Formats: sequence, structure tokens, C-alpha cells
Amino acid sequence: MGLLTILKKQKLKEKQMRILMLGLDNAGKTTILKKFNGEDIDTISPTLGFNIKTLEHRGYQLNVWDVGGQTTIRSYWRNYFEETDGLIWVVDCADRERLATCRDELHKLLQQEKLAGASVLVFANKQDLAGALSSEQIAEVLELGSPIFKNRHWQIHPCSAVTGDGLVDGVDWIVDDIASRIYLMD
Amino acid sequence: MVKNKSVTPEDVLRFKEPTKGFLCPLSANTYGIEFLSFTIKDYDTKRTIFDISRENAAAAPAVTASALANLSEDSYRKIRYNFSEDVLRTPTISTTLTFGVGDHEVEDFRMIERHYFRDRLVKSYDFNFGFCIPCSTNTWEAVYAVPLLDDKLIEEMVANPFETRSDSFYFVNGELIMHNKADYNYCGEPAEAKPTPGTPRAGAKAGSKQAQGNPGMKYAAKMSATAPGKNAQAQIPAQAKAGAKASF
Repeated sequence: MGLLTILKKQKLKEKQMRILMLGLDNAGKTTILKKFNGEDIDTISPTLGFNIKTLEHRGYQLNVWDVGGQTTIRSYWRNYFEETDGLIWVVDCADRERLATCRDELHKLLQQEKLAGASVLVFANKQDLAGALSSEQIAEVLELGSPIFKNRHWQIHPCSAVTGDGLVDGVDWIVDDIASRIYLMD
Repeated sequence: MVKNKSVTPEDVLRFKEPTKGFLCPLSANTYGIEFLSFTIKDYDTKRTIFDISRENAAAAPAVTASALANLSEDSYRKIRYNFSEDVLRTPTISTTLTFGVGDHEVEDFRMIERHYFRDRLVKSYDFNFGFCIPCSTNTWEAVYAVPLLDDKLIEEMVANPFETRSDSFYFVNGELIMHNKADYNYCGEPAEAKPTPGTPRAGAKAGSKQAQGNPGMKYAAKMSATAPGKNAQAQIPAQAKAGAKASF
């Protein structure tokens, strides 16, 4: 294999990112993925496995893994940590009763060694619902100011998967962050 | 038939032409992996170019069990498609595959698809699904720009029906568990895309002018011998982290 071939292969690899999207069941992960891609969101049922979306975004090939959030499936999340460049954590901001569980699951993930280098985007979803907490309130509940976030690249973005508000901003941030952190910019 | 244990991903990535036969038996799929639906769309217009699912397969005229019994095992894994030439020029395509997994964990599930025109490799796709949860239903959607094929190659493909072929190989932990084949006809005139009669299949519906096409984009659908009318198998190309590459 010639040097040029090696360089080209490296180049190709550099343009790919693996993004893992997790959150409790009914947080809106699949809806976010579909809405972001301009698809119909009327007929989404609980994800009993994964949805992978391979798409081009701003010159990168994103491989987004949306894994179901039901309690029985959460124990399998660890099988998807490998090689993850970015983690998108989706929160149902109107599901007040489960915010503590939501916080605990997120904090558990952040202690995983395989996710240590991943950029973290928290989507404060369902902002279109009347009872939804703001992203500032969510940041507080999830304790994003705690030490485990200290050395990590993270942001929280308010969004609505139903209206699409905020989705592009959030994804742009995590893609830029991964690009600047992992890859040499062209 | 070659013993499936001897066929590795590295082997199939070196193949330069379609295999003569199938490199594993149908029974090699001990994980209960089933293709449930497969859709191809023109990404820009959202037009559905091809769509098959268990549901619409079940609604199609049934093939009786005795008829199935008379077919060789191989015929379930091989399909011919007729597409119109314009699919070879569709700029961006999305493909969506839904598959189910049996009651055991599947580790390192990987698809490699090789597309040939005559004895020439036109494209090769390699996608690693990785781990699959027991009893899960999973989808994989790929959106991508169709690599440009030069006009001369397209002309030749149109002029030589069914000389565009593909082999799809599915591995679990490096072991070949499924192998499907397809061949393709591209009509110069926009035409109804439909599988050639005689191939066991059901329920594929395709809009007019269909054609899906770049040789990377075809797919095959057919019924399984074990579950007549239930089991649509679809093959699709892939581009992915595990080494997307296109060879010309």
C-alpha cells in the first residue's frame, strides 16, 4: 500500500463521526432524528432496538445511533459506547417525575471510560409543551455544573423535536466540537 | 458449496467477480435475523422508488408451500430486478432497512455488498451494525450521494441486462451467516420497475420510472423457504464508519 493510499484512507476516515443518542424512553430521540432529517414524525413507535442514520452534514458523514431508552434496554447501552465521538442526551423537559432518574442515568454514562472523550450535547426537548422546564432549569436538575462535567466538552440546547426548533443549532455545535477536538481542521 | 466457516470478511472484500454459488446455506442464519422491510427513496423529492415489507408481502398473492418446496434453496436468495435507467442518475438516495433479531445477542453484525458489471467491480460497501439486542427490531437508514457513473458505463449497463450483479454477505463475529444475490436490468425508457416473473417474491411495489439505481442501490426481496409470504429479504448498499468505500 502506497503512502498516498494510506493518506487517502485516513482522510476518508476523518470525515466520519459516530454519535450516540440516548435518554429515557419517550424522551423524543427517534423524533429528533427524523425531524432533523426532514421526515414525517406522525408514526413513531417506541424503539425496541436501535435506529441508525447515516447522513451527510456539512461535509461530514454522521453515523447516528439512536438506541431505545426503555428500562430493559438500558442495560445494553454499554454495547454502543465503543468509538463514540459524541453523545446526545435527550431529556423530556415535561416529564418532571422522572428527572431524577434522567439525571442518574446521565451521570452513570459519564463515568463510563469508553465515553470519556465524547462531546456531550444535552437536548432539553419538548419545549413546545406547556409544562416543560427551561433548559436552565434542566441544567440545574441534571447538575451539569458538577465536577464530572468539568473536563468535558458539553452544552445544553433547548429544542422541540415536533417543531424542529433548536435541532440544527444543537447538532451543529456537537459536530463542530467533535471536528475541532478530534480532527485537524482543513 | 464452500463451508461458510472458511469465508471471512477479508475474503469477500477481495472478490473481483460474482461468486459462482452461495457461500453458506440458508441454515447458517442461526441468529434468527430477518429483514422486515426495505425502502429506497429519492432523497430530494422524497419519492418512494421501492418499498417492500412483510405487510405488503403478506398481501400479495400467496405462493403455496408446495410450490416453494419445488424451488431450490438458492432461488430464495437470488432475485432479478428491472429498473429504469434514470435511477442510475438520481443524485441522492436514502435507503431504509428494518430487521429483526432472534432471542440471542448478536455481536459484530456486518454487511458487505459487492456490485459488479460483468467481471468488473463497480462498488463495494461495508457497514458494521455492531451489537444487536436480543428480540430487537432495528432500522438503518443511509442517505448518500450516488457516486457518478460515467455515461459510457451506464450505456453498457443498459445494453446488457442482468450483467450488473451483486453479492451481499452478512457476518456475525466474522462468520458468514447470510449470502444473497441480485442481478439488475436497466431500461433505457422509463418503465415500471418490477421483478422479473418467475422469481419468488411478493409485495414489492414500485412507482413508475422507478428504478433504482446505481448499481449500488439495488436490493433484492424475496420470500424465505421457511416462512412463505412472511420473510422479505432486502439487500442494500452501505456506507459507514467501518470502512465505507467505493471502488471504481
